Amino acid sequence: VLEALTREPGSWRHGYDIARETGLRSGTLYPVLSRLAERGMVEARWDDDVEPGRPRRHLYRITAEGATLARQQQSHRTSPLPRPQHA
Amino acid sequence: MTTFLTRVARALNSEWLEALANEAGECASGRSRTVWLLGGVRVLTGTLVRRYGLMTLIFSAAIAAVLALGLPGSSTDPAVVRNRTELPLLLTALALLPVLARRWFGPVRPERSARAMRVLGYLALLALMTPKAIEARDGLRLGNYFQIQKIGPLQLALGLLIVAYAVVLLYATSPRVPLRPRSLTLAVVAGALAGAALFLRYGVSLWSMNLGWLGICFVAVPALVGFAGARLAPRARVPTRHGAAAAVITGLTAALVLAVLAASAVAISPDLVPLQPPPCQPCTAPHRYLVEWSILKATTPASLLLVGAPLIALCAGTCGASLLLLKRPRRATTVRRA
Repeated sequence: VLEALTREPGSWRHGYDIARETGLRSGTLYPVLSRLAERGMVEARWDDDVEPGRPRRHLYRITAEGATLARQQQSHRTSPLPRPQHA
Repeated sequence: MTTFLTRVARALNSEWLEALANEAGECASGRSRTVWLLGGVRVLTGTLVRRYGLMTLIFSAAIAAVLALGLPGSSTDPAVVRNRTELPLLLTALALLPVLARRWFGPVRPERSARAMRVLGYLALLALMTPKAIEARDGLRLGNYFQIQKIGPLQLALGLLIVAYAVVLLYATSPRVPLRPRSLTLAVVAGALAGAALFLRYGVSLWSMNLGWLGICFVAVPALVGFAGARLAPRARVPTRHGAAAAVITGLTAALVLAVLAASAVAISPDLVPLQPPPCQPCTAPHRYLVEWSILKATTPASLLLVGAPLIALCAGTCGASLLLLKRPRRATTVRRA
């Protein structure tokens, strides 16, 4: 989820877009988003600028802290494993 | 299903669930929308389990225990049948009160101490209902020997007092009483220790109703605390108000713990209760039934005194101080000329 949000770091995104990009189901995605928001990795707000008659939507954006964590995780994944030292 | 989830989300004040339900309109096909909303049902289930699961589990187990104790077998005696409705009605009221209190006072404060106080307080109230459960059980057994009496005003008053304690407990753990977690913990621990000490000092003689100084203290201390709290609260600084609230909670905890210990002692060893004169002369009932009759007769007024006196005195003190404050004319503000 953090990686998906890092691709467009400054822009607010809807939950359905993130679900499509990550392939996560709603029952998995929203608890993850809720926990990330609690830990300050993601910002959330309501989008009140919607067409009349349509429900307002929740928007999400990665925070600086979340972006740092995403970068750290990416570097952990891409860095090669240390070679074993032989005597 | 979308409307249902949205309504439930608003009722539960869960913005994440509402956000999920609102996104369902973006799904391209009916199948994908159903899958999306099923995810919402999963989130809803998780939310309900996290918020109410533990409380529901504890409460259900305690209710099952009280009912198993109080409602064995069947009876055709109309008095017994009527008396037995009291316990389920009271338990239903206790189960519904937190739902209503959420509307009146708001949800439980998020601190651990407030949650723990709510759970422990409810368990204490259920323990206090043990003598009532014994009464209901004895209603069946004693029917073979004596004529069973229908529920009287004393039993009704005790039921109302238990409900009143539940309301106070829910109010004290709501955001309306913003006590610091440490103050709340201290107040509850001090009250519990005081209650336990009083029980150790007086023991089963609590049931004899000749409490002497203890009885006077039970009325005088809460009345003074309520009076002082209501008198000081409007003009006092925050620490004084917190102090008054903490003193009230300490007093009520002490009364509740004392009553629970006394009720538990009777439930564990019924022979501790002094024997009351039998309801029939001459009486051919065996000794164990006379013991049960004594529990029936002795515990209800004593429970009322132990639990009811502090709460009523507290309310009286608070109301008295509030009336005095209302009667007193407001001090006129004068502007001093230079």
